[in-house]
Amino acid sequence: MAFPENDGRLSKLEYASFFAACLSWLVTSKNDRVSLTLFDKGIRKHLPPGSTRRHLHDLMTTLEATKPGSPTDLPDALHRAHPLLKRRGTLVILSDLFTDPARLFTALNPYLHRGFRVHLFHILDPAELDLENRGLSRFVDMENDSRLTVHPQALREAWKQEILAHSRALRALAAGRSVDYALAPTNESYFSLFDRFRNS
Amino acid sequence: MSLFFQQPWLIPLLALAGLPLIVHLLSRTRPPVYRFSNLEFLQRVVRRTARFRKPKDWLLLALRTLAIAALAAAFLGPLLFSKSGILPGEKRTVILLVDRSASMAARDGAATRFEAAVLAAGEALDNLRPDAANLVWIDASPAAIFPEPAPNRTFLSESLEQASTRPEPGALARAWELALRQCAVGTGRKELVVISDFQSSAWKNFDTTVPADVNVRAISVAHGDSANVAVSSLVASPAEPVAGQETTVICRVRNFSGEARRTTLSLDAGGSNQSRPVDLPAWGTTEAAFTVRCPTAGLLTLTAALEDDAFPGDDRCHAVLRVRDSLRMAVAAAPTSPESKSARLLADALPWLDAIDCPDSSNPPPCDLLLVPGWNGENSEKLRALAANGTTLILFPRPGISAKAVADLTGSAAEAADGILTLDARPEGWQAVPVEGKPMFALFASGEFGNPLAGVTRQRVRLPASVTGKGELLGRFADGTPALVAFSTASAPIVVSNLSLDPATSDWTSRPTFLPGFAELILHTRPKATADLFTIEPGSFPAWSPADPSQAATLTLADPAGKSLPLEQMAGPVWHSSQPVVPGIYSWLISGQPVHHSVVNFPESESDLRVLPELPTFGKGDQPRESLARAAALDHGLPLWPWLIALVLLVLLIEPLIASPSTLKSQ
Repeated sequence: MAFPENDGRLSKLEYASFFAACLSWLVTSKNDRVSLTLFDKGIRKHLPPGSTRRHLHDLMTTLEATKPGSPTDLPDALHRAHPLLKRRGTLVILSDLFTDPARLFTALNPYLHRGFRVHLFHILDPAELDLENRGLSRFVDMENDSRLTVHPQALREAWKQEILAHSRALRALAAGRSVDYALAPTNESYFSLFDRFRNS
Repeated sequence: MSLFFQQPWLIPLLALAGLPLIVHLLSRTRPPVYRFSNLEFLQRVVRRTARFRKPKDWLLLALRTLAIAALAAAFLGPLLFSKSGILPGEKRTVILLVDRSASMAARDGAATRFEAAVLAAGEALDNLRPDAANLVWIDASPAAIFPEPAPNRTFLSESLEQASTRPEPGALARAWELALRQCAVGTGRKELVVISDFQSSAWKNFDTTVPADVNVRAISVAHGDSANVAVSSLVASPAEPVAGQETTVICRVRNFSGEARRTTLSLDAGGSNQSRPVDLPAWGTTEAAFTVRCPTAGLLTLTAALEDDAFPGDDRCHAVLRVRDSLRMAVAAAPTSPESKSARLLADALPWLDAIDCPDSSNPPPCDLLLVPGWNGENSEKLRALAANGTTLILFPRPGISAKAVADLTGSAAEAADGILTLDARPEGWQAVPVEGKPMFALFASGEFGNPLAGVTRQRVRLPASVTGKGELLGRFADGTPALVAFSTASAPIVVSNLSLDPATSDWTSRPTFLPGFAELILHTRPKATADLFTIEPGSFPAWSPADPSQAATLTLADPAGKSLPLEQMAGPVWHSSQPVVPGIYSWLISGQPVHHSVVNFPESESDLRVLPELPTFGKGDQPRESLARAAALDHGLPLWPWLIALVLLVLLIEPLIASPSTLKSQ
């Protein structure tokens, strides 16, 4: 989620953090409770539901202080977070969703059975949607340091097809389970994402 | 082919060709690091597209290497030479051997073959730029423009422009020999440029081997076979008719194409015209017969003509007939003999027959017919030679001569004839009748004019069947014994008669049908062909000698259009034209009156316009079959740098398409 690094643009983590902060403020301003769970391959931080200003302050401080960590495993994190949420409510997932769609929705099933309304925001940098037009490069995975030397121009078309297919798979599975799915490129304002809640 | 670099010291530049490979390898070892969010997806994409991507990388590398190498090579100034290219400072002698025989007048499309040949010859002079050149024509009398190769190309070009085809066959062997002689006296590199239609009839079996130091370029100006129809010959029978007699003129027409044709053939006989349609099978020959009446003695001109086609030169054929006012009949018997008297009576009755005495049958005076009553079997060979030279013989063998003599005379097998001819006499005699179907007695076929052999023959000789069986039976007695037998020779026939002219032994001569019957026999035993005294070869110089040298003062020669041609006197009283002749009838005039004709016909060998399926080979000196401009360019060194630059530009154009097709597609 730290992508892109040192590029002057908002990273995906920052984009998600800003959106989560705004959403938390909106929820607490209506005296509803909001909870926060940060995850990578497991649960890194969990703030139980709360609606006080102190809770909001802690939540924002946590978002501000969070750093990218280990490789992500969203289905496992959802599985682990399930016992922490005692009451049903609205589950908002902010992630780049580089995971298997089938595993993801298998992990969401317990929440859906308990009556959670689920919003899935697929946050991607424009450079991830459309590989940047650069020369031969050594790609280094930001999560596990694996390396791959490729010519992005040669892969660009196939990459775009792959991302599009992945997004379509997520959208199809979400539609089948009444889950709200939205692709959120970081070059677009996250204010538009709030409309998803008003319409739901 | 050989390659020559104008800037060889720049050859190290070719090492730049390795630059793309080095860049390729370096960029692979130290590419810039790009931290990316997730490589799992990327690896999946890489796995899926690897089989397409890897060859593309190598193709790109190859293209870039090619571009750099081509650019570097362009700076070296490469020149491409043919293996026959001249070395700097070397002289070059070019001999043009150009065909202008009759077949070169054939039209292939918009231009004739000869016009194309002139263009090709001019192109050869311009492109090869020889230090010395000469031009040899292929025609009936091959000649070179210069005595030996000379540097004046302008004069050769002018000669080419002013030349035209000749309606004559090409003396290929002489022209070839002359061209090789011209090559032999040339200096430096010797080249023979052969420009022809390579007509199959002329070139098929021609030995085109040349010396090893002569390079030969063959340029064919024919575009495939051309269809053609030609009048190939004109023959009259009898060849020398008598005034008032009819002669049959046979016109032979040939079709030189793979399609059956129908055309109209006309015959002009001294101003009298006849015409008829003729059907010609594919690649076939048709004969058309015209009957021409010869009213007066003299020379009768004949011209057979077809409708004009694409190759009109051979659509006409000419001949001249000598119409005789009388025939000379020599009688080899004493003037007082009964046979001689009968012959003279006959000659007196026929206005076109003159009888002359012949005391020695082995050495007769010039005559058309020789009667030998009571032939004693001597001089068989001489008499047979006379017949072969055009004198018709009518012999009446006497009893007691050997059968072998008759066999020798008639050309029968001598060993089959044995013994002597015995007399067969009977007081009541025998009646003779003509054999049916013989043209000489066709007049009497209806019976209205009686029997031409009527009469009672009381004495006859027993002719051996082994001899008479070899001849053509014209008449026979009632008991089947031959009465008249004709034996053919190379020219006039020999007629052996068992019907005597002596009234004591036969009353044939006293019968009313004797006169017309014998006259028909004489006319139909005339030689079919005589020596052609009128026809000369196209391209030759007509010559003639007036019988009276004093007439030379008013002697002129008129061409087919009636225009007078200049004459020159050769040694003696022979006059000839100073210009070669073309097909047509030329008239020799004395005081404006025609006294002789010279006939020139289109050469039959030139009518077949088929060409060789492949150009001939010329041994070691054979040059590649490429265009003259290209060959000349290669000889002088073809600069390759424009092609290399074009290659670089092409690669630069293609390289982005291969490197990033998606980018172009999105644009």
